[in-house]
Amino acid sequence: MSEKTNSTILSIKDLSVRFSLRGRVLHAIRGLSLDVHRGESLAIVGESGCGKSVLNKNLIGLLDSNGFIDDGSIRYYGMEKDESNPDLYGEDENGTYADLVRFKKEKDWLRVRGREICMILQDPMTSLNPLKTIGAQIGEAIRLHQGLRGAALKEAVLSIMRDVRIDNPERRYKQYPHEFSGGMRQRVVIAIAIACRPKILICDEPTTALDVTIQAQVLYLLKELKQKYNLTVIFITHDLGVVANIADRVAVMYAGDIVELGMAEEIFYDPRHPYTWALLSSLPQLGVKGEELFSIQGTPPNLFTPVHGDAFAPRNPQALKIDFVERPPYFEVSPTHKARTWLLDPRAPKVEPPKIIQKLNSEGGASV
Amino acid sequence: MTQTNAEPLLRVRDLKVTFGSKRNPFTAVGGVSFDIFKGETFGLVGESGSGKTTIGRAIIRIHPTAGGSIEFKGQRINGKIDKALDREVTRKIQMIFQDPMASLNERAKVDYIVSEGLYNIGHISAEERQQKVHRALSAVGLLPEFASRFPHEFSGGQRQRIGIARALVMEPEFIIADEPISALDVSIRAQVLNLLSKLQKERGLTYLFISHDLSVMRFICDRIAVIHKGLLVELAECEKLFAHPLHPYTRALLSAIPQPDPVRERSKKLEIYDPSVHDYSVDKPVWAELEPGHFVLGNNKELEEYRRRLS
Repeated sequence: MSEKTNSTILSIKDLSVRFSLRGRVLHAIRGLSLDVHRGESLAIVGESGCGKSVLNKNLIGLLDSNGFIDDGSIRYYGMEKDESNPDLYGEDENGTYADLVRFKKEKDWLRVRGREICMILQDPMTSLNPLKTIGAQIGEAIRLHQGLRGAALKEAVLSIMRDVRIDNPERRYKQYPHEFSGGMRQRVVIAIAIACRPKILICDEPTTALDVTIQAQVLYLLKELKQKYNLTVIFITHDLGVVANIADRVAVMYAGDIVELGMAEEIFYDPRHPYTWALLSSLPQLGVKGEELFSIQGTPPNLFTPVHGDAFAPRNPQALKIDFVERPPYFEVSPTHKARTWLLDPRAPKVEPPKIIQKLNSEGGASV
Repeated sequence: MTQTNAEPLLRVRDLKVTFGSKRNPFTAVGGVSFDIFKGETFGLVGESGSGKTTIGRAIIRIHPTAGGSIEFKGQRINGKIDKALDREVTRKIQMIFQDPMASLNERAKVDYIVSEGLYNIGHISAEERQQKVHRALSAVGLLPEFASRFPHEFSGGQRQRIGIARALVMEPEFIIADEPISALDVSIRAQVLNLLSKLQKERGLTYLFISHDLSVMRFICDRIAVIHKGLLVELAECEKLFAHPLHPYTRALLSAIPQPDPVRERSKKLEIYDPSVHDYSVDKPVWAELEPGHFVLGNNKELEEYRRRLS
């Protein structure tokens, strides 16, 4: 991210997404803004139901049919202008962009989905076709996106299988998904995604269904591929412990909004939002044996009803009065680190982060 | 180890479990031995397909055993046993399952889900049954009113609590928790872990905690056994295992634990276990106790090497 200009590949502004459900309206994304930089890996962390998957489904036009975007823009800068459809595109100081909010037709999306932005889903057991061989499934993506045929196609498939470290690709090429273990299937899914040559790769909880050892290997693989194919990676997870390894930047999401955003070091060593504190403190890795592990009380807010003030306030024992009244703005901690909490207001009382986090800070911060 | 002289609650010796036909059996568990003492939390860690769940299920008599013995309080409980003992075992040993979304009957009310086991242990009055259900629900931090609701009305964490209440209502001494938190969100994991340790303190329960995640194990377990491909490869007290892991597979597992610390994580070297490092063609591996309470699987040459590393 050396050059300031042209470094943004995706810019989300004031995005608001609602769902209509049985006559009621659920406000899933509440005015969210986020910039994704070219070549970075960004982790979006939050509990289930905080809207992190909804956010990313917007980027590839897979929002459920009862959901709609009612405000905001998603500008994607990686794409050539399609002259036959000029009103989907625009221009600003970062260059030509495609406004993904204006993409409505399936035909338009086909230009984005896969070849520009690609997604890896959580469960490798369900995202592969059980009736087709692995080679055919990876080959399909390459044929569509790179137009290869015959022997050249097979060679490309084998080379990509080697890239995702599937041993013995010649034999594996002819096998079916059920002959693969969970970790190997996830590698196949990654291979299919990479075969489309996307610029942005979205990984929606790619390792949740996997064992710890396999998880570590898949994360390592993703890191390697990011280098090799020059990818921008958006990584969705509920486990802060997982992202320390892979993320350059971390966005913490709560109730349809990003409450804290910063470089990984800033989020782990100097978190500012009480929700980030709570997420970190509840990790068993940081717990002390024999003592109670910190747990967040209560449940996430009901998004059918409008949220007043800070959405996390009802679950935050140290919430200030103003937290229940007015929604906090972003306060800047450093040029790369901002948080939505009144605690950062100069008038706020001083609240110390929990001990566990201070400990993490003194251990890790020392080596920074 | 203070418990070495204590009588183990559960004694497993050379347990074998096979699936498939007699002629062409698949060995899921190939002869494991361990003891679980009263009041401790014994962890069983391994990757999927390593046989850790099979061991749990063999103990609770779901899978028939192909060899070896399982003794619960000095009585053999595997194979053919008489009816009274069978009944006692089902009562004293209970299980908590992995996925609270799948393990509760969608069409039954919580009241029935929790009390189903009580119907099997002879006649008790409706009133007494209801009392027991209410006590179990309050013990896991749910309101007794919840008894008349259906599972879909609860969140994942609450459902797992119902699963725990279902085990508690039988007043067990020994609970097999099969990945009780893998399907839960991080924030809810903490609640369930706290609940499990609270119940253990209050009721003197003994747990067999099955998981693939060593970071959780370190937090909750007293002793940990590492299993790989149906064989135990290492067993030690929790802290000892983390401080001096000997078997290469244990080391691979430890290196895979994600740490919430970007600087250390990025410089971390991942160890990948390759079973071909063992040369067992001539020198067969044995299950040996290298220091009190620390067992490891290896052949003579490897054991020598491990001993040197310990001293």
